[in-house]
Amino acid sequence: MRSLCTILLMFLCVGMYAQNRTITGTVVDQNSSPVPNATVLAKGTRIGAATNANGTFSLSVPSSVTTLIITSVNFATQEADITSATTVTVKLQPSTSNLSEVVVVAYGTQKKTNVTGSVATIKGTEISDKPFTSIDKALQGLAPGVQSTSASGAPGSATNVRIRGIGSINASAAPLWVIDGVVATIGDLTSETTTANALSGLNPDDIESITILKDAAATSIYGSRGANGVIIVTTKKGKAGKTVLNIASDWGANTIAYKNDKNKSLTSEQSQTLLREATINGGYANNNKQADDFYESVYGIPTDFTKTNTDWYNVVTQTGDQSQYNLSLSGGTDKTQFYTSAGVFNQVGTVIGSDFKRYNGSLSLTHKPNDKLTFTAGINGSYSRQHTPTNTGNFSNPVISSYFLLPWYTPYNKDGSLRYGSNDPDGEFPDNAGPYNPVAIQALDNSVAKQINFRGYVSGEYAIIPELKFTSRYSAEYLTVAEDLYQNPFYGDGESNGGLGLASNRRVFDWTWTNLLDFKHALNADKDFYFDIYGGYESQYYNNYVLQAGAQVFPGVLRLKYLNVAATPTSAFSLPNENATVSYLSNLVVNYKDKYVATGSFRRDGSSVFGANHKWGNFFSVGGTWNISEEEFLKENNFINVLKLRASYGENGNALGFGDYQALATYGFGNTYASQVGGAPTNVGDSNLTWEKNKIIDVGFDFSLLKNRINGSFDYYNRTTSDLLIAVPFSGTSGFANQLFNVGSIKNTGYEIALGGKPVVTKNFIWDIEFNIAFNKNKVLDLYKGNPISNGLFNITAGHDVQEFYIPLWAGVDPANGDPLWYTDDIHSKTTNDINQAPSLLSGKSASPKYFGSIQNTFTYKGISLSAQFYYNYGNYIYDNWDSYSMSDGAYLGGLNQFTSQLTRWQKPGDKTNVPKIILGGNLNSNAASTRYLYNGSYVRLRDVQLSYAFPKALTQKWNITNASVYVRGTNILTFTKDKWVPLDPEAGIQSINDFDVFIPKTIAAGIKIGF
Amino acid sequence: MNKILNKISIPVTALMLLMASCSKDFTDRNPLGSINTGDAITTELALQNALNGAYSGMRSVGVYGRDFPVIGDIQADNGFIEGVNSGRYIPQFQYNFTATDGTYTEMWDNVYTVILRANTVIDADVKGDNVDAIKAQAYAIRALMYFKLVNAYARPYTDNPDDTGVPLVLHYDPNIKPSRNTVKEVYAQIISDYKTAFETAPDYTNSITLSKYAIEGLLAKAYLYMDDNVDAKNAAVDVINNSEFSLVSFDKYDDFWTNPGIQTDAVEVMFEIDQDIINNNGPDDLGGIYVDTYQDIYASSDLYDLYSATDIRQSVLIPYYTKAGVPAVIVYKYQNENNTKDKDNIKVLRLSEVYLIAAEASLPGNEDDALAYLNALVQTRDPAFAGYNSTGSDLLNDIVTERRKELAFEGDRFYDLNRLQRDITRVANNGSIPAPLSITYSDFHRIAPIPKTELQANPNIQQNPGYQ
Repeated sequence: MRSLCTILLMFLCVGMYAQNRTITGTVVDQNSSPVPNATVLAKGTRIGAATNANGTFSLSVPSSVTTLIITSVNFATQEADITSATTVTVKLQPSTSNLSEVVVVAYGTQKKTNVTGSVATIKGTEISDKPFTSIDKALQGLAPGVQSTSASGAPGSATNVRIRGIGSINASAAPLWVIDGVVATIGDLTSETTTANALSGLNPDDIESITILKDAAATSIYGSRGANGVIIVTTKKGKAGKTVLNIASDWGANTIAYKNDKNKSLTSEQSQTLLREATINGGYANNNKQADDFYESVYGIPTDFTKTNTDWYNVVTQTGDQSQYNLSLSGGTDKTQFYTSAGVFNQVGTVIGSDFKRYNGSLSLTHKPNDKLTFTAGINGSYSRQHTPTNTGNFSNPVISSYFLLPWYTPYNKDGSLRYGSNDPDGEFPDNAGPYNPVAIQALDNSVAKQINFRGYVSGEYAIIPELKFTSRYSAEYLTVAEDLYQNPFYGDGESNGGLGLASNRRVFDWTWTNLLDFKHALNADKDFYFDIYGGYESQYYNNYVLQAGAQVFPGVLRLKYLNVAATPTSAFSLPNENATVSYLSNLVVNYKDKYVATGSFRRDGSSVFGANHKWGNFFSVGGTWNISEEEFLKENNFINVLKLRASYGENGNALGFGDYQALATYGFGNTYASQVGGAPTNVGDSNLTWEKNKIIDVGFDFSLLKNRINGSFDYYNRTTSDLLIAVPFSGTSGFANQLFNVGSIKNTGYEIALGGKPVVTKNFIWDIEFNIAFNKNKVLDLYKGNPISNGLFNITAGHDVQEFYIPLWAGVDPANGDPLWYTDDIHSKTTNDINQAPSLLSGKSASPKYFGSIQNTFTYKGISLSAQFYYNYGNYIYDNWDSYSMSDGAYLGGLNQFTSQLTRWQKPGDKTNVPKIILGGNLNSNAASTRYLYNGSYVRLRDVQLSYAFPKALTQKWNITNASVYVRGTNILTFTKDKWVPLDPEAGIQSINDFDVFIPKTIAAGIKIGF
Repeated sequence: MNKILNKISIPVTALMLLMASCSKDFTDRNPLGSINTGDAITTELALQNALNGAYSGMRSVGVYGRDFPVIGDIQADNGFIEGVNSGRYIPQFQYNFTATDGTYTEMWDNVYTVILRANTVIDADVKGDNVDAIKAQAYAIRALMYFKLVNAYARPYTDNPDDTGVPLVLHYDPNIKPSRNTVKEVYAQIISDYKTAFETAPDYTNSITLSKYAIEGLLAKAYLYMDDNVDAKNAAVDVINNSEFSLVSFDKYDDFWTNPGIQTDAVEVMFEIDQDIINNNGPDDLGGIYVDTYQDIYASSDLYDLYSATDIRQSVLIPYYTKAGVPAVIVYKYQNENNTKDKDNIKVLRLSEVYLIAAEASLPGNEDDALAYLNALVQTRDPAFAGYNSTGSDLLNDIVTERRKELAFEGDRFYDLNRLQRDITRVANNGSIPAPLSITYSDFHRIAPIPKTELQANPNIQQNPGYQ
């Protein structure tokens, strides 16, 4: 602290004696047209200005400054000598080197040359106007190594993102999100309803850029929270110049992205065929007539059931509306700039009872009272409302109903009324037996989540002297979600309680306060050997407060869904939880003539979530680059424009996602007995509890060839996470289950390739290709005492992929008798038809893809542009959680509808098939969980296709507008799977488990954009 | 220079203040829903709260909430699981459970959690007028838990008292990795705890609190399981003669099972675990497995046929159909699954069982007493019944049969057959999933496996024979 003050003092003194002069000038492009919004910077200082609409600027610089640096998007950085001049005209040349770009990185921006880490940038234009309810869903395929996959297609649902594999088991493996400086809350905010994404309040149209930090050189500055990568979101700011009004809007429809016609629900006739055969195979009948009599009497199936055929899939699915309206206004003067926007987004999901609507607005202001001071403030607010049906095995889940309800059932009675409970003469939908009539549940029950979210920031920058800048930024989030759940008293889940209601309010308030001193200093006269160091302090606070209440016994008036009408309150709950972090951080860049760049970062974090003995931790990184193309021997070369080698190493941590008080020995309440308070020990605690430690090596190179016709980058990484937070089981005799301890390690290694090219460039026609691919290999290195950890269908085992499926190994069907067969061991030496002889084994099949990425082609001819992006994912396996019921070989036949793949059953000796002989009541547990229900998860999807047309300038000028374009866009248009039997969408979340969620939509929309 | 210093003193001071805000307190965050374990119990009220925590622990599905009451019947000959089922207790019914069995893992962990809570009460250093009465209940809870545990995971005392029992854990210690005590040692602790409890136990106020004679009744049962008939009879007779409890009358029997409320009239139920409209196991309570929601388990036809037509106890067994439509007998002792005002309390000890203990413990020496206690109970249930007059092993069999009839679906039958070292013989029931009809006493599945999770976490524990 003392030294920091000394530096501060020293440079303040210097600053006081400096003399200033004013430089004015004009910036133009190669055609001598003015370039607005170009940044003009006094070299070696932080003093800068932006050009106005006429391309002019005025800048007061210290007398010592002899050079101006002018940068602008799409132009090469240019320097102007002002040793003797006070007025300059600068002609910019189109950018030839993407290394001259400025990119957003941790705590600010950096010239791309100075970036030694692995960083991917996504421009706002790449995610705007797309039919995604949140920006995390839009990330898919846009950056190598960033896996964004949704288990649910419900509008507004949470999505999982993983960067460079899975690096944690019991703590969070999700990246850190930093939105306008605040460490952001992500994930599902709901307590009672199904899902509500914390990021869904943010309008992708308000995003300027997204930067993804992947390796230690980029992320270690985030210390104990950087281990799983960092996603930095920067919202739009105003720019000096003409006031610009942009209006964009589109309208479209959502249908289902993936449906497998080979493997869908049976019709009544198909059911009859199987029922007869299964009854005879079960020994309950000798012929079809006897079989009909048997299942009609045992299952109560009506005699004429084949006359009715309800396609329940059609009953629960729908074509949903899609629309959005975005309006933004930006502009300002040299001193003050603003950006403001408003938007409405509407998406109706593919399944009944799923929709999302958002209204949002934002305002950002930048004000520079003088050359030294800059104030910026922004706020972004939204209201969103979503309905989402239940998921997984809930009887009220319409998706489960769509597959399980028998085709001879019908949603409506003959008189058109809904069929359920007492209003069901055929007894198809008894009071509280499921699966429920989805149409009735949709009409009678209610489940809604409403978010009101604010994110905002204020920041001040003060150039104490040209070389030294102080920045203070306070960013905060205030997120609320209000949920109301109502289950009617007549039918379904609420029936046995006389109706059930739950209300929940969650309020998340968190802030991040960052204070940095940035000192940039040239070490030679040419000022091309310099260092840039910043250091400072950051504090962060998070508070999550939940208030819940529940009641039962409701008046049977469906309009009255709130708790005040209920007779019996049953639950009341309120509890805040909080955490706090303080950090000291510092970052250094040393640049020698842009040829050699070395970086280093250091951060010291203190966090409330860790044990008293290990509250503080130190994190660091070092990185270096060699821009070979800047060397003399390559400088005149016409083939290689850019060749940059990068290498970095660092350590960071993971302190997220395992609760705020795990380190403490706690004694809790809530064990109520006879309406009296009941207390009990709840957590053992570990005062040594600390962050997971992540060590990353990254080496890579960036290149650009043939005047930037071809460019790309390559990265190899090796990240090893040790001190994993693992729930170590206690002896049950202690009365405790487990405690998180820092034991175990896991490794992710892989490489990433990004390639871009312009195969054809003519005067009017350009063909652009972007391609990326990322390979990752995950390996658990060490666990507590080597004990595998059971985790659903996985059994986390040292030496194996963390997501390797652990289930009995299916060996097919015995052609001789149609019995199911499993392997008795993992070397497939013997098969058995007894599931008890077939233990769960590591299958060698992982839920994580071996590689994934995207390829995008864009064709531009004059004002017409056609682009198509394919996303691909290879090498993972998907488990369908419900195949045990819908492909049950007779076990559930007659009770739950089956998939058509059952029609390929074994029928006679010699039949070679994967479906055993069907026997009413089941065939030797053939439907037990096994690799039989694993599907190859490889797929290719036409993720995005867009055709747009920009009206020519001649027309727009006539219309008195700046620009106008129209477009047609399709999302998730085509899906190709490697495995032809995959019943549900192959995009199935990080864990690759299909769990009957709302189907992922295919969206087709047409839109128009006008700029004034 | 001084002027300059003055000028910059403001931003510098601001910066200093800012850095200072990162004081130690900022990163010290304590939960607002719990307190430090070490300071948890310092007052008599806190001690009572801790006792309530132990009581509520017995409501867990893995303890009295469902597992013990269900297993006590489904592993014996009283019930069967129908074909259309939710998958619960199938390994128990089919006798193919292994060391990874979820039910027996849940039971082990849940019971020891109750023991932890009881230990926390017993070891608390608190002064106050009611401290002894509170601690007495904790001793009784601990004894009851060890009694249930040792009978589930170890061979009965009657077989070989020196055989391995279960680990005795008597104090808070998360890092303990105990080996198994002998059955004899466990029973010694049970008897000692019940006796300690009895000394200072509160008098009866209601059915959901362990009172003096309820504890003596449980003590009598423990003696009976030790085949210590003298002490068992003394304790049981003391309860019958001197306690406030009386048997429920024939006329009130139906009401007794219908009423889910807390009793204060000392009729029939001596101790039961409270469930109310807010604190209950929802669909995972006993009503859920027998009557509604899952409705997986039905009464075996041979049990139903044991009751005479005039026996009021048959009224809680209702001939109806399985969910799949096969005629079967519904167990209707837990009727309040869908009651929106209260839920069934879980019976732990009823006076009728004390009569049966007194009867059985009177043997072999005093058959007259045995018949007297037995007939006193049976004729209350079935006034038309002329009374037993059997002798010798027939009389013992009659008592055991009456235990089966009286305590059906309260979780006793299986443990009776174990302590009596009898084989289990079942009849085939229509609509049942396949299950063995005969399980010999020597079958290793007659006692539960030590859970795999325990074996992994505790190197000192020893598995039961037959399990891995």
